[in-house]
Amino acid sequence: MTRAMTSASDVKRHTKRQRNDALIGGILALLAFLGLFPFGFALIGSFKNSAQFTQSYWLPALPLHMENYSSAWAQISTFWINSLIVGIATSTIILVLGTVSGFVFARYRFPGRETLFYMIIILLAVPGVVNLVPLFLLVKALGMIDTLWALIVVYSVGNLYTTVYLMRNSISSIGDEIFEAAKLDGASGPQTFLRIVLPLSIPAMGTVIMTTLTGVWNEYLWALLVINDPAKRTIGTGLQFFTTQVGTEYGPMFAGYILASLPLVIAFALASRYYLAGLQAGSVKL
Amino acid sequence: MSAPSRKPTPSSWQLIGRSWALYLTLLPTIALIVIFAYWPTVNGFAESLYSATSSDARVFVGLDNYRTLVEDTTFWKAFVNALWYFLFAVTVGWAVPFVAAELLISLSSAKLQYLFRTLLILPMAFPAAVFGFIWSFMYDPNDGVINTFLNAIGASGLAQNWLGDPRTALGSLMMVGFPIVLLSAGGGLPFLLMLVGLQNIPQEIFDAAAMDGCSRWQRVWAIDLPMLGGQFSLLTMLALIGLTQAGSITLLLATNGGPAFSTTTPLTWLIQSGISAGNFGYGSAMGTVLFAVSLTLSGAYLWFQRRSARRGA
Repeated sequence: MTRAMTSASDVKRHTKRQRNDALIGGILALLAFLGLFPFGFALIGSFKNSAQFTQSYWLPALPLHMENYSSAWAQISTFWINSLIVGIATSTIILVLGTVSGFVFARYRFPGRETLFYMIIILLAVPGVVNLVPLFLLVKALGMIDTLWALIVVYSVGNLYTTVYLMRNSISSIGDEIFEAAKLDGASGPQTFLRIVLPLSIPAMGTVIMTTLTGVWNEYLWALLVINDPAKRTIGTGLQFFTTQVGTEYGPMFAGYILASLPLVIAFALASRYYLAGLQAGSVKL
Repeated sequence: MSAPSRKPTPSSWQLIGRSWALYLTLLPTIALIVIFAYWPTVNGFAESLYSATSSDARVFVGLDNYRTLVEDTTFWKAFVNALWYFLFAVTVGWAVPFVAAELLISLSSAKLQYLFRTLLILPMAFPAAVFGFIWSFMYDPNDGVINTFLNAIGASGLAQNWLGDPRTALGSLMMVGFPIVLLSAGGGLPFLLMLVGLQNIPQEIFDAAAMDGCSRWQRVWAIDLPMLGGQFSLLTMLALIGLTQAGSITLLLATNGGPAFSTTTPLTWLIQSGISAGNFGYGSAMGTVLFAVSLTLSGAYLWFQRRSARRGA
């Protein structure tokens, strides 16, 4: 009797829930459609030639013009590779410096610890625009203009504050018992770092890699200022150059945009889980 | 086997020796930060006292650059534009993601939640440059998607030269990425922060509210919004800091502050008049002023927040 009643009300609740889901899902689908439409349009457009673009503006058209991709790649491969070099170099630098510094700040007490730590994270509150001119002059004085170093060094420093902060928080949240146990086993500082801290920091490191790669692939402002040599351009600044070159040939232009986006889309697919986990764990907290 | 408990207390020399290893470990980080963050900040202030139209000829001019800045109408115009960006970010830039996040957590199936979350933030996966250029194509007056669509539905009267008309350019730039990943309002961050914030509210609170007869709508006001306080204060902070860096998208869409300075922001003006024109002293003065403004705003905000927190406690 009771069971029958429960299941009846369950069914009722179930259908109500389904109706709700359908309505909410519909609204969310519309929002998602609006957000993704421009990219979908570019993706479809990347396979069309000029005639197809005029005749069939909204819909995909056959045959697919794959040659758009080869001609786009011929022009943007340099930018692509440069961005990749800068991204890998920057990630490596800040991961090494960030995890090591985060570990030292999280697990050791020494004179000046607080001062040094705040000296680093206070920079989070300094907007980048403040330093734009003097940084430009410094990089120029160091002879880095038109070299990828101008990007690697500045991006590394720019991402370092957040990384140190994030890694310190993440390493602080590792339980004390683990470190006590390691100490009892006679593990040295570096050993503790390599065997315990690094493996447990993988989600936080995923966040760092994701944000760094995204940041580097996204950055164009600084790159516009310090890179003029076409051979040294990265995705951010190279595309501008590329867009004016292909003119009104939309197919290759869109193909270039898609190619430029690939690494980020892949990184997003691989790392978004870590990134969101990091976000959820409260690595972004005020 | 060593017995750490019986280790003699380390002498001060040993302590210093151990600390030196730590300092040495931190040295690369600190050195990079001193050279590439602290030094430029200090040097920027020094540079702002010079008139440096070319790198070899520098003349000490005292506060002249600051005086020029106060009288620079474009600079003030740029601030007003940045203020519009800020207002946009804290209204549309928060409301739409909040509604989307609320809707998302109201879905009963975890799979659906995952699906829509991914779809909504997927535009984040595209590089800013690509984002900007594709949207610039959306706005293209001849072949662009928006005008083509308006023409197709017989609303040709609404078609505009979106980025080329001073009346629509700023608004069009703000709308890049609509509805969720608004590039000028923090990209996907507001949505993600709100979503995570809502998901982190313990289920018991919702259950208790439901038991008290709290409707879904009442819950938004009584529980969800207050519980997102931390997220909103972070977003406010970011929006305040962002005031001085608003409008970098302008450089991307090649409007360069145009048309007729309708989209100029402090950032683009600093680059145009301070770096592109080679007037580094003037650019540095502008940077210093922006720094002061940003510091004042975020400082005032933190003070205000702490005061109201103390009062609430």
